[in-house]
This record gives sequence, C-alpha cells and structure tokens, in this order.
Amino acid sequence: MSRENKIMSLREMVQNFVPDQSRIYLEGLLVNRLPMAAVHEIIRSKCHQLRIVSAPNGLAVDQLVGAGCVTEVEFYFLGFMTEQGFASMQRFRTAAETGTIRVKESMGYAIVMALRAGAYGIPFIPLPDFRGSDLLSIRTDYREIPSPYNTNDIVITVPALRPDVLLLHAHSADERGNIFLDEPWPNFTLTTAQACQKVLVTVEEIVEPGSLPVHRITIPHFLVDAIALVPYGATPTALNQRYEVHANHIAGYQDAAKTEEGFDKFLEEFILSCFNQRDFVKKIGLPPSWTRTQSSNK
Amino acid sequence: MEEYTSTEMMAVCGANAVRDGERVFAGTGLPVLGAMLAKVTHAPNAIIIYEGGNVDTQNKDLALSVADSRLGYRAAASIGLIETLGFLMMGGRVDVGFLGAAQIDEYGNINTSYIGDFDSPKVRLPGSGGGNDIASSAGRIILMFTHDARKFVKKLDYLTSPGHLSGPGSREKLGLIGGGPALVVTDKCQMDFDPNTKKIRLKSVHPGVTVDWVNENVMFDLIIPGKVPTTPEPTKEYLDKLHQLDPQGIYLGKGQK
Repeated sequence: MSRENKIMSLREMVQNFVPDQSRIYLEGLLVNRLPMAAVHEIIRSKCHQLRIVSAPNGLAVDQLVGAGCVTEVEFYFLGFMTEQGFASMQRFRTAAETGTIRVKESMGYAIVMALRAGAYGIPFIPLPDFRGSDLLSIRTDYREIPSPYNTNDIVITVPALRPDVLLLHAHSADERGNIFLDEPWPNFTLTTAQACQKVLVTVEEIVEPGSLPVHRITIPHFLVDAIALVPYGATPTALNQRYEVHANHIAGYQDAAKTEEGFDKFLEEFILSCFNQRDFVKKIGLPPSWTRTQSSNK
Repeated sequence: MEEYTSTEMMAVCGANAVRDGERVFAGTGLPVLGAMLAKVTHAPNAIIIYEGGNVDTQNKDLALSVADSRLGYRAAASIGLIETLGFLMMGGRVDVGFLGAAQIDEYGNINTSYIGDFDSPKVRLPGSGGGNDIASSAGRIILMFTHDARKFVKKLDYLTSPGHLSGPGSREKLGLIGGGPALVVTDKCQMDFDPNTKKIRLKSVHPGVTVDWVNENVMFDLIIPGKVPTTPEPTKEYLDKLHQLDPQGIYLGKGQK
C-alpha cells in the first residue's frame, strides 16, 4: 500500500527512487516547467548510466549528459528558442557526435503513442503513418506490419514505453500525493505519469489535505510515489502563472557549455557547489515573476 | 518603395502562402510570424495550431516556443500534444504545415536529424520533433529556411521527414495522407514543385537576386521555367503589421538589411 505521507526531501527522493541505470522520463517542454531542481540533485548525487527518455527538454538533457550521468538518450527534439535565437544543445551534440552516449532517434508522435501504450498496458501500438523516412532503418524496434484487418494496409508499430521514473515539477501537492498542475494542457502529463513506474514530483507548495477539489487534481495520489517541496523547482525554466524563464542564466549556460572546460566550471559553480535549489536560486537571483496572465496579456 | 530585410521578405512570403480559413500548424520562428501576419491581414479566419496544445490562438505577445503559455490567451482549445499531433495532424485535420530543413533534396524530402554518418555524425541536429508527423499528414507543406547551397543536396544524409519521396505516386503508395511540400521560401527565392515530376522548380526570385545565382546555389538540377518572375515586394501594410507582431525583433532580427 502507498504511504499516507509521501513528502520527503529532494535528496531522499533521488536516493530512494533513482538508482544508477534507471530509465528516466523528463517532463516539461522546451523552456517551460522542466524539473531542473531534480536534475541538479541527480547530478549532485552522481547518478550514473541513466537512460533518458525525453520530451523536448534540451537544457535538462544537456546538463545530465555533460555531467556524465547518462549512457542513452531517446528523444525527438533537443533545442529551444530564446530571445538570443535558437539554442542547440552543445554537450549533448558533442557526446552524440563522438559516440560517448547512445542516441535513440525518434519522432514526436511515436514517443507520445509509445507512452500511451505503456500507460494502458498495451504491449505495442500502431501509428497511422510515418512511412517514407529513414527512421525505420535505424529503429529496428519500430516495425512495419500488415494490418490484421486489411492486409493491404501497412501500419507502423512501436513498442510500449514504461520508463522507471518520471521527473515532474508541478504547482501544488497535498501530502497524499495529489498533484495540481496549473496549466491549460495537462492531459499528456497524466499519460506520462500513467506510463512511468515511479512518479516523483517536486512542487512549489504543499497544500492542506483535502483542499484540492477533484477538478484541480491533474495526477491522482495513487499514481504518485514521492513529493518534495522545492520552490522555484523549474528555474531557470518558466512555470506558468509563477515565474518566467531566467534568461540571463540560460544565456550564461549556453555560453559556458560551448566547451567541456566551460561546462565543468559551470557545473562546479552552479550545481555542485550549491547545496540545494534554494542555494542555486540565491546564487543566480530570482527569475522574473510571472507578469502575463490570461486576462491581462496586453 | 518600402525598405525591408530578407528576413521580413521570408515572413511575408510565408504569410502569403496561408489562405483564409485554413488550419495552420506552425513552429516557432519565422513560420509562426508568417501565420500570425496572414491572420492580421488577408486570412483573419485562419486557425493557428501549436504542437504544444493550443488551438486557434489569439496571443498578442510573441510566443518563444510551441509550449509557451502566452499561447493560452483566448485560445479556442488547449488540448495537449496527443490531440494536436494525433487527433488534428494524424487525423488529417490540418491544411498547412510549416517546416524548416538543414538539408533538402530535389523531391522536397528533408533532413533535420544529422549530417554525416548516423554512427559518427559530423553534426548532430535537433531532430524530427513533430516534423515527420507534419510532413506526413498536413494537407500541404511550406518549407522556410535561409538559402545555402549546401542545404540543397542531391542525396540527403538522412531522411527525417518525407517530401515527395522518389516522385509521383510514392507518397500515395506508402499511404501518407498529406499532400507533401508545396512551397519552399528562402531569403533569395521561392520554389514550388513541378506537378508532373514532383521535383523542385524555381517559382520566383526575390528582388536583386538573379536566376543564375539561385541555379548556382543548389546542388541538384533545378527546374527553371522559361520566365521566372520577381517576387512582389512586401507592402507597407504587411511590413508595419509584421513589426507590430515582433516589436523587439526577436525573429525578424534587429533590422540588418
């Protein structure tokens, strides 16, 4: 049975639930709501040989790869726009180009559907199309098979994804583990939580038990294994309604990550020498607070 | 005559390719500026869809990513990735999709994955994202990228997203529901696709660019019709609206000609 109180420190969460060689799914998208505090704690805890499955979360993947925590990255897009232009993921690129990590190329909908299959206990799932690209020549686990219903139709199948661990940063949780994500499009996040075997969530705030009405529960407690209270847990990425992207810090990171030496210096200064996220945020300064809301968006 | 940059020209060409009432799937950068420009000019009923989940967005502030919550402002729906890529895109409910490319071949097949060998790539690129999904299933594709001869290759290092594959009938044979690439917009010219061969054909050259220059800056045999028109210059109305959409020059640049 699940414990009634799932709140613990982020350090305990990582030590208890992220053993070496775990396959981790990173939630968030581009520069929105990445589980950055958890990523930094994984780096501090010196986790090794992690296999990452990622939404387009370039910044998190780049730092984990640069810190030597990763052996495999399964992804469909890594990179993001900033006001300085397109940011390509330089530690990831170097590792991919020199072969120090295994790269599993995929596509958006293939990963989405593989997670859906994982969530619903289906061993594999057919996709409506996708043929014509070179993906099938490098992903031998993606197959072309005749439809069992009309053998003239060929469908692509992808195997279900059941990552070991989901890392997610959210707005609120109660101690049982009910999660509220204050975003207009949380449905895919629920699918990832259903697909992953352990669901680890850092949150901005812990709310009173029973204070989240059912329509504000994005992920129900019985899917959640551990909660850690980490204000600014997505910084330097943004969190809807709370804070903006910490653009200066990201620009500084992009600059540092151009070289291994630069990255190592960054790692020491902003991750290893910080005790926790609070320390990190103190060092880089608070991100700009959320100024645009749905109603006052100019 | 208005002054304009080649980046502004690209955004306006992108806008002109969108028709009123169409459902448009746009990625961040120039494509989304083009789609937004179309919506504030000749295509007020265009519906802009972002992979991140928002549909029929009315955002006033420019979005920095397809998951930017600026896009929630007065959107008609916020339905998430499964629905945008699945229900809308794969379900054949999108009229036009915008894509970029690091390499393109003469059939409009594109590479956004890597340059060199897969096992030891010279350049690891960002990857497909929703690119393959869009290229497979959108009604038609508009490709936008800056012109560089090294991008127009005879053979791709990797085919990320299908164009017209190996010519007429090849998309249909694989059951791809989308119509494939219809237009290529660069900072030098526009290209479309010859209906008989499905190969890239020069459509117009931007003012100040010669047909010879374009021909020398592609690495395959480009179809060049007898008469190649000059792309019409952007109007003041379109340029003004463009700057209202991107007042800080995030995508348009800071005004370099």
